[in-house]
Amino acid sequence: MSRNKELAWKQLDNAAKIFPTNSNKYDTKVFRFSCRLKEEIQPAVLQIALDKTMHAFPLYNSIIRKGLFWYYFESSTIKPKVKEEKHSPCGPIYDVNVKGLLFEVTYFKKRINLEIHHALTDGVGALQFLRTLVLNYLLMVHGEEIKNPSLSIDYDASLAEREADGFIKYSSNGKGEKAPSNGKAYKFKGERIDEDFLQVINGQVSVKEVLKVAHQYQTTLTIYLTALLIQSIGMQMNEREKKRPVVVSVPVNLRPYFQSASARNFFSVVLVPYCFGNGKDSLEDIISHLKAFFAKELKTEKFQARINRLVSLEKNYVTRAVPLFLKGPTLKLAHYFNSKEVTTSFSNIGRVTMPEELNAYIDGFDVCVSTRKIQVCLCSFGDQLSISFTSPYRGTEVQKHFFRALTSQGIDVVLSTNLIEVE
Amino acid sequence: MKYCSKCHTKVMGSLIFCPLCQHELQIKDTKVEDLYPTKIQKRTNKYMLLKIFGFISSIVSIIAIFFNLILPSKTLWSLCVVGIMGFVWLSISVAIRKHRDILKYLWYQMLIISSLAVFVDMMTGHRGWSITFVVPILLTTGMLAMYLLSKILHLQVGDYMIYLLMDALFGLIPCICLTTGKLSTNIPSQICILTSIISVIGLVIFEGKNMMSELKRRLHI
Repeated sequence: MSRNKELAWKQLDNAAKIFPTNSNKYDTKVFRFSCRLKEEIQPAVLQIALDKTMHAFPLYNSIIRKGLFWYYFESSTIKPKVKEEKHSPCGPIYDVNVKGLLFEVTYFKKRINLEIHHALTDGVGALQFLRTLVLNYLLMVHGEEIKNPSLSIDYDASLAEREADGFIKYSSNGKGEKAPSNGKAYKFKGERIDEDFLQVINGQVSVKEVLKVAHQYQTTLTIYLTALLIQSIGMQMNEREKKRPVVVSVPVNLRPYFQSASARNFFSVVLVPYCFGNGKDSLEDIISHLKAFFAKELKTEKFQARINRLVSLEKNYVTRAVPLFLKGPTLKLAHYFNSKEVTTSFSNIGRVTMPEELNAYIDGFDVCVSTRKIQVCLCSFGDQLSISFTSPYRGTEVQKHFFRALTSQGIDVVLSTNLIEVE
Repeated sequence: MKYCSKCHTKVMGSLIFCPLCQHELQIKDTKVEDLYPTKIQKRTNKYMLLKIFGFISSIVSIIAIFFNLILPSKTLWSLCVVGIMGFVWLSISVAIRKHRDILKYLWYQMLIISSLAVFVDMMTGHRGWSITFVVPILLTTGMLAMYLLSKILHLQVGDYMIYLLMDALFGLIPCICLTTGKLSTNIPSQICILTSIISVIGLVIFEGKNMMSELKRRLHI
């Protein structure tokens, strides 16, 4: 870009606005998507594939800058560099003092990792980028064997559609509504690992096997696993702690509800409370509670009201006129109080698909997120469901109860972790 | 692949103990494949220097206050020491945090050193040397340095415009000092004001469009 050309810039989307002020080295607001291939990664080819992918996602070539009133994205001439993975997952990417892109592509043996700061996009948006990257990479390495060179991922959206801010586009003048508060939620306690080390425990299971069990309880995979998570958390709580509800924050992709193809943030969160001690607290009880709750909450009108409220907050004259250095502390405070009401988070990215010709080269996809609590992310590829727990704590009680519950149902679990054993 | 007989899970990688229950794993087959790097680099602690200096400056300040209180003295000279320590600490902290953005760094450093000069001047008898010499000379050299750096480093408009503009606006402050008539010599202030005016005119004529779009970005509401 020549020096004199007017720089392209963009406002942060509604959901992204909270992330720059609230990311720090303990809670980096970074999430990671990985693709495991069946062969070692060739870094030089990956670099070319990345350069090619950047053309389709121009917003990824931006840095965050501070204006007087808001942060904004400014297009940058920095070129992303593929690096070997050397740090613990989901480390800091955004540093207010360093001009840098908001994502990193790393590789380790057979795995390609995409780490993205949440200000740029959400899980679904990031996945489109990784799928395109993997497609470009595999076409370069195996172009000759793959008979069809015009393969593409099923992401049909114009640049304008990709860069649209879904929140603004789909907000209406209708009524706005705040999600009901559940009061203070139960919070995990325990010794933390080294300050900036995030522990990932990943379990691979068969989608079919989990679905079979979920169907025995007459429910869906998401509800079954959320219920298992709540039950596992309950098993390590003492009676006094059970006075507070366990609140699971479930991010919901808003794109299907509003027919959007945005490559930026477009999600909402549903807070699912569960109070222990009101019944037998069996898995059936939790499942029926969740089923009723989701049936009530997962409705376009509900999301519409939430979007309306968020956008009206953002667009209101008072909010806009407050300088950024005062917005920061306010957003931090809001984030602090919101986080008091959440115990854990459970995000199901869903099924990841690639063009059929490429499936022979791909082992699977994983997803995980930085956190100060314990969080679960899952996605599936083919029959393989990848469940990743991330946690800054040394203890692994919740993870143990969760995976043991799966194995006790006869489901095969293959674990992997980044935890290094110190003898 | 290894196996935990308590959790009934298979475990990948070179672990010896189950990551869930810390029970010793059984070896199923010899294929060991780590999915994550087994040696990770620690992120460097760039704030160590700041901590060390924070410690030293606190000690110096406390000792100064201590001697100020126990020794007979009519002035609170320790306040001056504490102030200077504070400014130097601020200066180092800016150097560590902002050094990657050279013009921003220059800008902050100029503000800190100017304030330090005014502070010391005020504490040592109001002789006016800070506003006569230090502040206008700093602002003038700041503007020249920013202009040269933007050319040498081929900076993008967004990287220098706002700082040069702010420096030029601050460069008009000596106008106020001139009207008070308290300056022993007017020359540094006059040069500073002149440089500011030339900078602003230069910016408007050569980078006017870019300046407007930069301001539009920075001030979007």
